[in-house]
Amino acid sequence: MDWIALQPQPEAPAQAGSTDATGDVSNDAARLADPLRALGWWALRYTPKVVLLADAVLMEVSACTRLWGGRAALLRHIYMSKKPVALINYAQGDTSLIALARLIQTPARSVAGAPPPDHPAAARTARRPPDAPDDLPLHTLLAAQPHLATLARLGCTTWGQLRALPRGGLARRFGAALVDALDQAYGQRPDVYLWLTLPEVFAAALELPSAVESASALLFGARRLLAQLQVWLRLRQRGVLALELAWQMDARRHTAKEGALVLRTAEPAQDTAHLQRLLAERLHQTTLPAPALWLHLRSLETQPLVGQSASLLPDEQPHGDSLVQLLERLSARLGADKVLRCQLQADHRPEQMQAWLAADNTSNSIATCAYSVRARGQKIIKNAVVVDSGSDGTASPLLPTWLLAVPRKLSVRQGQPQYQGPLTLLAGPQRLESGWWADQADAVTVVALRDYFVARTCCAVLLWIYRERLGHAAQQAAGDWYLHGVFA
Amino acid sequence: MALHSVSTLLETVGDAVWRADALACAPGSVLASGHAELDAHLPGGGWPVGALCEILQTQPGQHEWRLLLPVLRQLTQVRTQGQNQSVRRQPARAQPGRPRARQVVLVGAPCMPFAPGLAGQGLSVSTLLLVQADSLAERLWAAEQALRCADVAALLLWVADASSSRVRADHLRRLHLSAQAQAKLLFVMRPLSVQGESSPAVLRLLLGQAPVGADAPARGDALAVQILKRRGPPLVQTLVLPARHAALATLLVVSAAQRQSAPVIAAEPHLSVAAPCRAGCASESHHGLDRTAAAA
Repeated sequence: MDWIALQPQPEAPAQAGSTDATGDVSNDAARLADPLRALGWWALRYTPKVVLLADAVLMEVSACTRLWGGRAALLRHIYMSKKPVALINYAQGDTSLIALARLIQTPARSVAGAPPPDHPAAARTARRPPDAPDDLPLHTLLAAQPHLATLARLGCTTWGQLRALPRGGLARRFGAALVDALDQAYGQRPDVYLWLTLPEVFAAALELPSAVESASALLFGARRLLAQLQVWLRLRQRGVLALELAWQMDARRHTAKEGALVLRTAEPAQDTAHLQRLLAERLHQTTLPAPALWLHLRSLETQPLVGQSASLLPDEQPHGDSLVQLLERLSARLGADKVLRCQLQADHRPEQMQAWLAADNTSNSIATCAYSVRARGQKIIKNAVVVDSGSDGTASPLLPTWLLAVPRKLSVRQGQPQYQGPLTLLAGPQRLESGWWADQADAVTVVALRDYFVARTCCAVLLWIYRERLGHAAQQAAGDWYLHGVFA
Repeated sequence: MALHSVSTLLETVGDAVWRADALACAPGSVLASGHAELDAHLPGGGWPVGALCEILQTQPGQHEWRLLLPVLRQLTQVRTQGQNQSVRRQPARAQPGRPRARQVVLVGAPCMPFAPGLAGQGLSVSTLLLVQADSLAERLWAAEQALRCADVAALLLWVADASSSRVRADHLRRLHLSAQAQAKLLFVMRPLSVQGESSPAVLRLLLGQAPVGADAPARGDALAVQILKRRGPPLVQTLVLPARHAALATLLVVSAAQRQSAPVIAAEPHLSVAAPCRAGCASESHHGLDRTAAAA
């Protein structure tokens, strides 16, 4: 058995030199919501036997040492490679409790910021303390910590002295747990743990340090959860398509106790910066009825991330964001109905020839993507409108370039339509009679019996106007003139 | 000796300095505007890529499609071999091989673009992205975001002239700089009232309708372009571009001829009928271009 104990150093001091080891995980100083768990997830790349115990990550590496080229090479790899936590303490031992005890005993002995143990001999002297397990102080044994004062009065300060006591009396006085822990520490009982696994669906919670009144201030806590999510996504090699940020509010206010918002992206994203921007826009539009106390982040849907093939030449790289990111950012702030894309339709009525649909069709891509993992309770969106821009409709150069959303009624003076002065008819009429198949209920808006003309204003701007041919209903009398388009 | 030093200075500085009596060579790349008469008077021979162009007109939405459709058509079409001919100078970073960078973003358009009409003139309407934003701050923000996007080729921005939210020169300068950094086409439509204000735009055009005179009534449908500012000598005369689509121009000519012979609308005899239009109006409307630029 060969155990390594790792412990993230609390509150890493602001060392500029340590940032290169962390890389882009903490480039904007976003701390992790749960650094210990992130470090444990990261340690799973070396061995499947990883357990979190008392603020430390314990790894059993006897089975994988040979794979990594020996223990010294493995340790060097652990220290040199990029970790979610910049600075860690480490210790080593033959059993998990010995490794943990050595970690507790000398917390400041070894940090990753120190020069890595390049030389195997130096590493061995640095990490193999001369003290045998018998000489370890008693406070490093977790099971003995409640009884430290009593044991000290008995004259027991090290593991060896405790082990020298008679077993039966020890078990009767302090409980069987202490004896079992001692056996486990000396390797006489197996180290059995519930091993850590990387979950299929990300879910993390964060208790806010103080009650947060405004929704946009939630972003600070959400950033830490997003950093944790990024660690999970990297290890899973997935990108997130939908995630849910939920918050629990003060229950003493007689309002809603929970709130949540769901964030969806069209492309699987591992880039926390983009998610952060989207989340910030959404949180700005949210109001909290009561102060929030807890934050929960959950990944609703993820997808395997397909890496981008990089180019050797720097000029080939596109500069700037992708179009999908632009659409999502614009839609998040302005609203999805403000960012539009055109779809041509085959119809004779001008107002039906085109449809401007929301460009941020996030739901479409979620409905169609394969290999995605959904959280429990997430249904496939089936009624998504798939935009098909293949047909070219009824394109013609004789049509105007601007179309008024609602035709504007023109005043008529002496039988002549007026728009900024009298209009001169240049071409027409083009007779249109369409839409008779529609329901009678909305016939007023659908049936079109019109004569279209090209007219010129006194400022010589060409307009597209029409005259109602047969007045139907009371609103439109026959012979009314309407402005419908502009030839710009 | 002085002349010699000036010429060596011009050689060392390069495109950043130009003689006052000649058009500047545009420092960036240039896209042909599609109007040969206009190209002849633009520095570099086309729209400057990565620079702010201002277009002034009395009312928003009156003339801009006629002016800009040729270059947008060329941008949004699928890139082929022949496309290289229209690009005069292409720096290495704007390679024509990138197929996706051909989105055209319209921010704050005065009304809905009519896609069938635009498609009829050759524009690929699937590349149009319409961003509706009411306030000036939202429009400027959306414009800057769009300029940062790698897939956007051109941005058309309309800014209103409300006295409460007036676009300032530093707003425009910021847009100009981001267009410069990302090498995008940027057109800002502004009202006529800002003609006297200073602007960071490298090119300012004033659009209007060619005057309908008794001598050339057929030119009533031509586009009059006045270059207010450019990198080069000021241009005094107005360019007249026959910018209508050929099909529409033909329709107008034919209808005018028909109306002259026999008015179609017999029911309303009081409706005034267009002035007679001579055939071939599209081909005779460039006499104003024979004059040379009035050099200082």
